[in-house]
Amino acid sequence: MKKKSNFFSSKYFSLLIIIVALLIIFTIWSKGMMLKPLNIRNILNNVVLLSFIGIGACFLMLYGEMDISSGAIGSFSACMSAMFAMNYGIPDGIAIILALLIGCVIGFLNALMINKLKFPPFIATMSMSYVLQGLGYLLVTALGVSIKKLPTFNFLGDTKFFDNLVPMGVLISILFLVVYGLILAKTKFGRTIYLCGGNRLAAKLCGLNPTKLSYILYINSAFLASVSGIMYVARVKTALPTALTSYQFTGITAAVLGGVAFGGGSGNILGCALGMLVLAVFNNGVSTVGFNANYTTVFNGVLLIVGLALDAINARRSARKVVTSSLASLSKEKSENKA
Amino acid sequence: MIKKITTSRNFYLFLFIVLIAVIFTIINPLFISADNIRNILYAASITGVMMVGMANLLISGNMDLSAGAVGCFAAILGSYMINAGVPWVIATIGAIGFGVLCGLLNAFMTYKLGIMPFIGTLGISNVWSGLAAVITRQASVTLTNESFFVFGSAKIGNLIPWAFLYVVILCLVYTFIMKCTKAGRKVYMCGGNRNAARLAGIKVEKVSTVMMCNCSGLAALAGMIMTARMHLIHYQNLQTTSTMGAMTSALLGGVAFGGGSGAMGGAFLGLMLLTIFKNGIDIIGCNEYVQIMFNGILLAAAMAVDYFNNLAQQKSLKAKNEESAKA
Amino acid sequence: MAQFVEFSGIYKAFPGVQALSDINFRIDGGKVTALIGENGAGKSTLLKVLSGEIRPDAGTLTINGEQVSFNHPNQAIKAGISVIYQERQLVPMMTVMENIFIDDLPANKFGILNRKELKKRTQEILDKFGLKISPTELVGRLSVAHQQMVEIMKAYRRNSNIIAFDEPTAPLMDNEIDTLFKIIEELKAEGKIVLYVSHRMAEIFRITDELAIMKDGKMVTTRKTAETTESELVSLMVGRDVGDTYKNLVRNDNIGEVMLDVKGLTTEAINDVSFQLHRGEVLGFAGLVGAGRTEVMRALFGVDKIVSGEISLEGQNVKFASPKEAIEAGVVLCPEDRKEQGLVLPRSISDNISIPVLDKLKKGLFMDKKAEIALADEGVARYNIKTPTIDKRTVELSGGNQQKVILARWTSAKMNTKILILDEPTKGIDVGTKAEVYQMVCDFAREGKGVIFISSELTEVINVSDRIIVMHDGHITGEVSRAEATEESILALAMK
Repeated sequence: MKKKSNFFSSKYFSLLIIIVALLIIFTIWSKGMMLKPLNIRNILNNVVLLSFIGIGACFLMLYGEMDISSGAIGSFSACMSAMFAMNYGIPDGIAIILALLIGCVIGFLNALMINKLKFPPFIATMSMSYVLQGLGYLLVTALGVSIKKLPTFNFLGDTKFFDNLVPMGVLISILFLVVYGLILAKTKFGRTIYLCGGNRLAAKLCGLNPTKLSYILYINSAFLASVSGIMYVARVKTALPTALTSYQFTGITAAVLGGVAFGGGSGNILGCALGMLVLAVFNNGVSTVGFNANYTTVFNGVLLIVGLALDAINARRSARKVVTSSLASLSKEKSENKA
Repeated sequence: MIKKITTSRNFYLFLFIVLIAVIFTIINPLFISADNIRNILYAASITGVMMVGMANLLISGNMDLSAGAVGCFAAILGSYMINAGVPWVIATIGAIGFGVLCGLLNAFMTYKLGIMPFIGTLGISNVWSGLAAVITRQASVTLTNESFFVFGSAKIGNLIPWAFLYVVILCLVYTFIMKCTKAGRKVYMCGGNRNAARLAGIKVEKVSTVMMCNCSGLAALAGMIMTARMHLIHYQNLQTTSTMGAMTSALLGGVAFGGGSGAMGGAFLGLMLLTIFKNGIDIIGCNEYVQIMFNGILLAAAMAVDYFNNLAQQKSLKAKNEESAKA
Repeated sequence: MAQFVEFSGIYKAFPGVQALSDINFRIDGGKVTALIGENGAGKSTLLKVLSGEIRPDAGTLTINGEQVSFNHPNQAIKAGISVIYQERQLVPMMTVMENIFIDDLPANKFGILNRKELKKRTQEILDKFGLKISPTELVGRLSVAHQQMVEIMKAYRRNSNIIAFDEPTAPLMDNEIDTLFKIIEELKAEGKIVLYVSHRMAEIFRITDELAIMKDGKMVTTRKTAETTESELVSLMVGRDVGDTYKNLVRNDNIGEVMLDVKGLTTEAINDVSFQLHRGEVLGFAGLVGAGRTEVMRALFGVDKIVSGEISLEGQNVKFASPKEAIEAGVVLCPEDRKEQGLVLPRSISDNISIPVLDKLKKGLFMDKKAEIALADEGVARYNIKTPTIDKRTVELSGGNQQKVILARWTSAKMNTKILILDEPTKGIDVGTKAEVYQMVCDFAREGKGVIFISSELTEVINVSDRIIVMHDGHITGEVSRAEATEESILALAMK
């Protein structure tokens, strides 16, 4: 049996249209500022940082949970890597790897609180984010750490391709998106996420291990957040304990806009990536035409709620479809049996 | 009797409070100076007013992550009103009214749109946060109304701020309502077993809406009290730290995250524990970031204690059931 | 004042099943009426109509001649109806007294609770019931039996005129049952209408005055308790025209050696269960709800913890610590609740079929889409699953098709299933699909596999199984071969 697929009526196409529309609207509104190379690079830089956190958020949301410590973990890893390299003289490549490892450990602790100690995920990750923020400030103070002359960081942050237009970060982002996208869509592991997210108990009774998956997902989310942190430091050359806080919320919003539903019903990395582009273009456009950053916060909040409301309404509609569909197939069966 | 005291959570909270007060005093005798005690009580009062609303909302089985943001925005509106000549009492009532409307909005989002309260209120808190920054153009809103100032900063004998008494009074009033009135018991039922409440004829959605309005309204009051005392309101005041402070106090005090148990008394002790701890950390020279860290640690500790408590209770319940099955 | 409740022409259907057909039934006050029937007879549905949980498709309910109609269970409560279900509806963190008076807390005109009166009235009820429970104890801390008593006291306090009990004595001790019956006698003396749903014959003969017997959603007849016997009741409850459903069933005649040997299996819920399953055999497990059959299978499948006992599969000692281990060894389970435990509803048919064999459907690092499609296609064809595509989400399928998806999953080409455990596989499925499922079960046996078939429907379990094991209260009460089995004998064993 062949799958029915129609690209033009899919939600990916609508998202693409929205991105293009936003670009057009904001370009006109900003009298062309929007499409200047510097601005395009800004958008791309934002998407880069958003992408890693967004992937982590996407995976966890499909499983049915949320990690609100990603922003803090990212900032913390950023500070750790900078601190190791600058204050302790550790070769920066090693410092980066250490920071990533620390991120993984934090993710493991999150999973431990949630699975072993049965903390509500929200509270576990919320307290973790507080602890990390405080710890971050303690270690690097509000001034943060500035990095100078570190080859690996410079490589990651300063290298550009295609005539100074596309930063290294974009390539890494695309790499991660493709790899994670493939993992989610095509591997057994990805399938497991959808299954455990859809019905944890049924998955367990079929031989899967939701608890193990939970650990992997939280460690993964923390790891990805740390990657964001490293990329941030690499480009901006300063690490602050609150560097990535705003990306926390935007990551979740991007996933919701991209059609990721809580609990494995639908959603994938492609939608997520498009959602990120929508958000990045939107946020950049808003600030390019002159609104200050606070308007962005407001609009993001509204977008999240609108996205969630559409999700919920959709879910209700398909629930109704289920009832009518099962009644229809039932009467069809009855008439077939009579024949 | 003795056993009842030693097994009560409030007893241990109280002990803990005394313990850390003693420790901090030893480290720095200024801890129990009149000035510092006054500071502690001031700090407790703002979070405290918010905590009253949050604790009761948690008991009813819901939550609101936008309380701080609502409080800030409401206080901004109230300040504009006062600056425009509106009597401060009316302005305060107006701010509270705005808070109540926010509560209605939260309820609409949760019950009519079907959005999970956790993430819905997270989203909305961004909206109010951002709007606060936008309409104040990131500048503080200052006030010069003298009587309003008294509302926020009057003290008894230079030691106990009236603001703190507001918290105490609110706690007492709400304790009374929640424990001694039919309406209050209904809130516990909604949180404890939604279906049982429904069967008993309780309109769970209505109760939840009332509690949400209550939470946001009290958050607005907290905002106004803070504005009154500080003479100004800044768009970064309150926000997430207050919301989490209120929630942590309630959770420390025994209010269960899923609803149905806990009371103002415990939450009050939780509030004092949190505030004294924060203040002590400040006094001994640690910066505010250590406070933030300990906020997180305390929150996790409160949950961990609950987990082990539950485990113990389940074990004893199992033993009880096995015993009666054998008999 | 002679009270009565009357059901007239009540019909109720659910997707796939006509739960109630033309129920005409009058219950009078001043006596205790029993409602009996085997599982699926419609007793719970009728109770739910009475309590306002469900609205009937047709027919009327009248109380003392006046027609009533409920949109919400609370309206039924206000009309004087209290139904005490097996699942308790209590608020665990609140006190006994608040739970008993949950919808009628004594308060003054300002709404302020009158604690003293609440405690006094609760104590009165506790004394009447002879229970040593403190009114201020938290309900969540009481034993299961005491919680049940609180539920009963709640109904008593409501002073309802119509009280229905659904298997009330299951968690109670003997002396508590005596107390309960004393209370029921008093309710009777006060002229109240008492409906008593139970499977326990001893109790029915002890406490009830009249009996109403239901079967397959219809009211069969009524009897006066004093004028009937247990065996007459059993035969009224069963004995139906089996029709063609089983006439064409092709069974397996080639039953081989012992493949599964269970000795002394004990868990929290079951006690000393021992049985054997032969190759090519369909072993039925009969019994009433709560008999412990599902619990036996959960222990076999690695879900519940085994306290003691031995299991040997094809001569090897096994003890599965998780479903994964059981599946690898070839033991699979179709759970009773297919929606909550069997299917990942938001996912497609194809996804659901491939869950246990994902590892075998790989091509390098990725899933082999072609192989998956082939597997799903084969399952859909073999089980005749009615769907336009294999990508249809299982939530949109009818109950029968959903069950087939689960069967397809466990018997797919990539599985090496040796023993198929089916827990109530035809629940909520229409007759036509049921017949298909029966044939699939027998086909599976013919392949030399073992099948364990749990069912509460007597006709089904008798006609499909080669041998039937009957359970009651967590242990095995008997074993009958298909040749010897009659519905009466099985039911008798199930209620022993």
